[in-house]
Amino acid sequence: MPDPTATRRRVLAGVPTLGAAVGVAVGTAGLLGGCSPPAAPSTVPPPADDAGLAADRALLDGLRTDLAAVAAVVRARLARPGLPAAERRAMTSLRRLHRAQADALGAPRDVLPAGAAGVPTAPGATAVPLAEERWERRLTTAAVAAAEPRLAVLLGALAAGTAQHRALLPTPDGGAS
Amino acid sequence: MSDSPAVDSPVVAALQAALAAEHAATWVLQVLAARSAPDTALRGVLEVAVADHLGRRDHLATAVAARGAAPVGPAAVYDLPTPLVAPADLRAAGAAVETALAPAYAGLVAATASSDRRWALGAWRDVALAAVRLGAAPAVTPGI
Repeated sequence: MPDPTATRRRVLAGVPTLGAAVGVAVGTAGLLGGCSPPAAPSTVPPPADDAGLAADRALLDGLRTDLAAVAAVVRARLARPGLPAAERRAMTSLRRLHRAQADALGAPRDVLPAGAAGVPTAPGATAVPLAEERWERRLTTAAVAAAEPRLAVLLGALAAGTAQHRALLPTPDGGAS
Repeated sequence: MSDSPAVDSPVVAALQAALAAEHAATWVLQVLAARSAPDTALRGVLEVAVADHLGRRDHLATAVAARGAAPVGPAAVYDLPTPLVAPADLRAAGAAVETALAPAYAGLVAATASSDRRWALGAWRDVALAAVRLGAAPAVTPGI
């Protein structure tokens, strides 16, 4: 009989400190202004059961694979000679983001070699924005599906961060998207 | 918001907390928009943000009421960040407001499931994007 607590720890391995993310809503209004927030009953939902934790492990495995794929697209784009400076900066920022996301998801960095299946060897200008858009959707869908609330919060945060970085990608004419 | 937990459930608590945060955000952003009048571009960004917050505020109030609870109301007044003189001040204050909302939606994501959680994720994404539009630096995990 596996120890549920130990199992949960393994599922959440690599998850940064999330205690503040659960139940942090109370008091946010205080950050915004001087209002009194509502009374603070616990907003901590019950943890997932063993079946939910097993599903979360499978979810994380899939996300690690998908992250490796999107990171490989960015790496391939970054390797193209003659990339405009603004795009090079954006790709470098995305690469840092993916490494941080890999750490958060407990994934190895840069696991797909250039030229791996499904990764274009010379991605065009739209390949990265499209890959990032798919990745953001994937994270959101996984956050909805996550059984463990803290994992849902982590994936939601990663999706929001991906959206922020995507919004700053230069468009083909040189502006921000 | 589809399911119907008890009035004192974690879902209702998270909804109320997000609603209180939206009340505060709406109030502060309306002030910022009014003060940004000479800068039409900034005023436009802030007015769009206000409209978005009003929509989410109404959604949250409806969701609370649907669960049999009385939606938390706005405070009479909120403290404003200072200084609020230059457009850069207004932008920074707006970005701070949007950034400060993200944890409220993180709490709502944790407390909900299925379509309710999907809505909360969308709201979280929207405030994260609004923060960037107002000049916040992108983060790896905005809100946590």
